[in-house]
Amino acid sequence: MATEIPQKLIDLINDENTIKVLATVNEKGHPYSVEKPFMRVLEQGYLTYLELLESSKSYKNFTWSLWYDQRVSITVIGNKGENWQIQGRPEKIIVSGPVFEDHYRSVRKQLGDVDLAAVCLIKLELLVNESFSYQFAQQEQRQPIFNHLDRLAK
Amino acid sequence: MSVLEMNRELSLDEVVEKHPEVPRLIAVKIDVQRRGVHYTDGALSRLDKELHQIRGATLFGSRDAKLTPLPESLILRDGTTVLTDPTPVEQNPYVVDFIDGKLVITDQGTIIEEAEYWPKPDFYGKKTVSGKPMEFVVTARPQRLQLMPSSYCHFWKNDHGCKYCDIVNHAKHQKSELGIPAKLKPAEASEVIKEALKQPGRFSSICLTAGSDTRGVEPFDEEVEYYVELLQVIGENFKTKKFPSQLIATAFNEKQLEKLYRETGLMGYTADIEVLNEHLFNWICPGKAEWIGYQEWKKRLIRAVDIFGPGNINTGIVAGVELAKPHGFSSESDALEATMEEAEDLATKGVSTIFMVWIPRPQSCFHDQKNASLEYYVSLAKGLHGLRKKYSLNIDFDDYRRCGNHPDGDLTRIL
Ligand code: SF4
Repeated sequence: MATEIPQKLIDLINDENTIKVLATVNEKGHPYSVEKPFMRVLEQGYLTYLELLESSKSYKNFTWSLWYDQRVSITVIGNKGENWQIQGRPEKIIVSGPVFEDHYRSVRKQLGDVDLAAVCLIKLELLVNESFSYQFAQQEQRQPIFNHLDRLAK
Repeated sequence: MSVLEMNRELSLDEVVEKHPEVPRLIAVKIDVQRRGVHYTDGALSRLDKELHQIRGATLFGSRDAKLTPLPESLILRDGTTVLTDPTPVEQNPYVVDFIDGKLVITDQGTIIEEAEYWPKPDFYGKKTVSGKPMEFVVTARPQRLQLMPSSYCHFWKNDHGCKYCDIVNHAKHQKSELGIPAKLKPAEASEVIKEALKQPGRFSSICLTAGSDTRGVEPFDEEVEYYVELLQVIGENFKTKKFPSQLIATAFNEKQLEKLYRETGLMGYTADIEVLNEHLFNWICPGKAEWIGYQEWKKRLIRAVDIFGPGNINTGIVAGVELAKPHGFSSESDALEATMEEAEDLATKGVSTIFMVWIPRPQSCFHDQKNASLEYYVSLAKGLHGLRKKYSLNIDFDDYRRCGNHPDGDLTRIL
């Protein structure tokens, strides 16, 4: 089962001003991270990203990850300090048919004369709020030993 | 002793475990192509003729030797195209069923993989100005337009057609039952291409494939002239001189290849050598042997690299025919070794080899033979892909999207 995504995160991902970075690995395990602006939640539990470049390393790695059931990760950074780390598994690569063609038309309407290689579907498995304020508060509460003494000095 | 030499064939799961370099989805594709499919009533109840592509005109016949309107084929969840056809149940095909709201490929009641039918292109169901159904003129794959300029092969005139091939018998069948013409009219082909291009995002290449035509001042001149005319008329639909395209044809001489390259928008060229062994080539492809010869075929492929450029030339083999009885290899490991040796020789000279899974077609000479084991095809895919890696050969013009028929070519997606 895919992991449910809270509405505030859906809104953040679907906001075109949010930065979304897809990290994948290749068959040798080498990592590769690239910003993917065309990433949206169109269905609860799934991320859809549009791969515009057939030749991109991300697309090759994504394909490899689907073939071998490996996770990919996405970093989502909002302009108010929001920062999420998401992990999921490639579920589907759509290269033909009505869904592909809808996205093909919309991306070209938006960017002009560009191409679309694939509509990639990621099934979400893990969501972590990585914003500093949230993580810092968590650490202060759970691991009070992680402190420099001067911070506690009278 | 390798399993390739033992009698028991490994199952899909065993092959996948033994050859992890080939992803399971590609092994599934191979096996579905190898064994064919049977569609259950449940699967067929999901077939929507408005949304899905029904099988139409084809160059070669299917395993059931019928032209009934069944699904054209399947696409897997990684975008891999499976080219397979309905197969009589006695031959133990995979079964395509509809279970728990999903179209699935099953084997002995076990779900193997999800699949979808090919989407129907917008031009299917429309008619040309002369009243012909457009899908009888140009056919489609999920991302490719396919033209069969001529479904007659002149090698058949003196009974020298390739032994696994049923082109002429199938063309007669199609003509009598569906009225599909054996030869395309260039203007009509262009008319359909123009219509197909009105569907944004649907097609990424055009492929022409036909039977050989020996006629002309120099052998095959007429075949070349016809392709030039056809490609020029099709080219009028594009604003660039060159357009993503592939011609699968006879191995032409240098003059003919230069003409094709210079005078048309053609980008990729394939001359299928069919079997990578001279002795077997002479037996299985007597027409090709008579008119060109094995060594000359190879030389022409190599010369084509200079004309079209590296990465734009390849040759196809009908994998498994090298094991045909009585003259073929008696062991799969010997066949694999010999094939790889020849493929490597071509690879060092810039020519890629890709394979098709051999289907013993009912209307061909080899109708009563059996294709190779799954492990053989998986090993071959691994080997040919390995050569492309080793010699930095790409086959973008004939890959998973622009063609979809070659399991080894599917692997190049991640190169
Ligand atoms: S060359 Fe061989 S495979 Fe091709 S159409 Fe002629 S007989 Fe068939």
